Amino acid sequence: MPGAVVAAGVVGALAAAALALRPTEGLLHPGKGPLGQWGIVAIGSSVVWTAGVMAVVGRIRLRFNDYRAVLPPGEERLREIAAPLLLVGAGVVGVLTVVLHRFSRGARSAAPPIVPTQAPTQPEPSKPQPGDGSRDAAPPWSLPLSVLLGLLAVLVVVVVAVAVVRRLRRLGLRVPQRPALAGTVTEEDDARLLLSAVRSGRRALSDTGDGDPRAAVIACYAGMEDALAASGLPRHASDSPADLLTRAVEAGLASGPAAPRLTALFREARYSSHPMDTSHRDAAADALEEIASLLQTREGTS
Amino acid sequence: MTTDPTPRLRTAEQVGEQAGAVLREMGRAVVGKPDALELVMLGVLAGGHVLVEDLPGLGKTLLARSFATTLGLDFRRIQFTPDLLPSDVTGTPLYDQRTGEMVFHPGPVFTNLLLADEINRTPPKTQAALLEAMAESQVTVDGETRPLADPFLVVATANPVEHEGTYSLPEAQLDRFQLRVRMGYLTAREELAMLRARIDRAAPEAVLDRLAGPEDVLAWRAVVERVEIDDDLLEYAVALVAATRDHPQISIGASPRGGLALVQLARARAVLDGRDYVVPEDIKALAVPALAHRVSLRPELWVREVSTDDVLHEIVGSIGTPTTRRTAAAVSS
Repeated sequence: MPGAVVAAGVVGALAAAALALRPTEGLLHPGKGPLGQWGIVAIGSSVVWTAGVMAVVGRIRLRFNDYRAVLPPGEERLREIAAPLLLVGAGVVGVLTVVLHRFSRGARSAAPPIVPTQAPTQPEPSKPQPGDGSRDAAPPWSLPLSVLLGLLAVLVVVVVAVAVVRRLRRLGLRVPQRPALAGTVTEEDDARLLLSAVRSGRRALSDTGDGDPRAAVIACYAGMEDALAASGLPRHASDSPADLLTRAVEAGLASGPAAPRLTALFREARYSSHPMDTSHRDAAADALEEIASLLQTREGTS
Repeated sequence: MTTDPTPRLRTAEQVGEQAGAVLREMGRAVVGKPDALELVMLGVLAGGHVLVEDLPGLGKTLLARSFATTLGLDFRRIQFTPDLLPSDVTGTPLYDQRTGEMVFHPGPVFTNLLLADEINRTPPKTQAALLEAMAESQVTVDGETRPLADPFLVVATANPVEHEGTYSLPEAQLDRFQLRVRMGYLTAREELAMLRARIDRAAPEAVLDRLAGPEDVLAWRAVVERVEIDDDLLEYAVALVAATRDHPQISIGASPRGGLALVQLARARAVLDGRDYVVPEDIKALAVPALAHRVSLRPELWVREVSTDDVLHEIVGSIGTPTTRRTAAAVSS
């Protein structure tokens, strides 16, 4: 499984990088980076990180649960282990950042550090002592410059993430659709969406004119189907006409007998060689009109 | 009995009504199992054999007997046991002292509807005795081939393989069954209704009326043969069967016979619904009953309690149905 090898390689490389960049003074030593002097930066970034992770997890958790890709048993087990780790682990990182961070103030007020070369008091960042070792001097970073660098880093991360996602999508990875939440669509939305579906079907019916009635009925159904899908009704490739109808009825988009009648007409037109005449076309048009009148009734009462 | 003097001229709508009446009549005896009854009826219409698999006591044998009674078919039953011999199924030649010749005594397989009760309680050798009968409607004993009755239908009941004292059915024999039906437990309300019905009729079983005969079944099957099916739907059926061969959790996919069974059952479902054309819902609804018993899962999945039904449901949910408009190839041809 090349995916697992790549994942293991990335984790190993990150671990090696962390060891290489680890401060020699100890794990809990305050950072020497441009932002290491300000505890508020550590606290703020940790809080923002944790809140961001919780928000993202809340959004994608449903997709993870809904994802039912066909995987070999080994990869399926790996997925079952990795999914919760990824979701929970990212949030834990933010909490650990605050817990493990040793703030400069605490370091100054605490007992003298174990490493004798580490002075308990730091010189002012803006006034470096002449002749002082450059290693112990406060870094010559200013806050605006640090913020600028941080924003630059975020930009780079976003660009890389977008590039990776695009690449994966080109390779066939699909992010599963978020399941529809029940009760989130208002009745007015329903009415507006159904109206667009009906208009689309009418347009398709009129486009065929007085030509082939079979094509007219199919085009009418297809227009309505497209409009339903465009209006947010979940649509899967494995749906049969009955599946779509059931979902539309459950969503309140196709109440009444007209939609089932139109679906039945479509089935006969699409899958049988029965002769189709203008009566079928008229029946499809009547079904559409019935749907439209139902919609107007709903709009009038709402 | 509703014997039609011109059975070949019946329409799909008429057959749908007649078969529906038979199902309603059987619903008096087999309470709360309309889906299972409908599936067995589809097997009757499609000319296939039905495997009814579930735990003991769920009404499998009652279902088979009810069909025989209501359809007016000649009915035999074999209780499969570990010591049953192949000749007990097919029949055997015996020496006639008066004529001095070997006379063939037909076994219970020479009937219209054969109930093979608890078929997996007998070793594979005896199970295999049914192979030729099921596949070719004939029996060969001592080099002589004898045709079976027409219609000939095997309704076999089986307990789950994990159950005590059972032998797993060979893949070759499983493939001979057109569909597998699972009974399942009744809901609390249905079970209450079943108990109430038993008390009210003051008899162990409901007495069913005969609503059809062998010639009706043959006429119904003739109507099924006239049901049309669009090329796009055939491609859909082929895609479903092919997906069972490529699925990572399946070691042995469905055979071409599985595709034939699926299409024939879909045509039968169309007739039962009063149509003379197949729609995607027919194929989609029957993919699991027609194909799940023909595939074998990878061994490691057994411990994860993944069933072939689960995998087939997943396949049905992933394979696209025909597009709303005809494909360019279909339109141009």
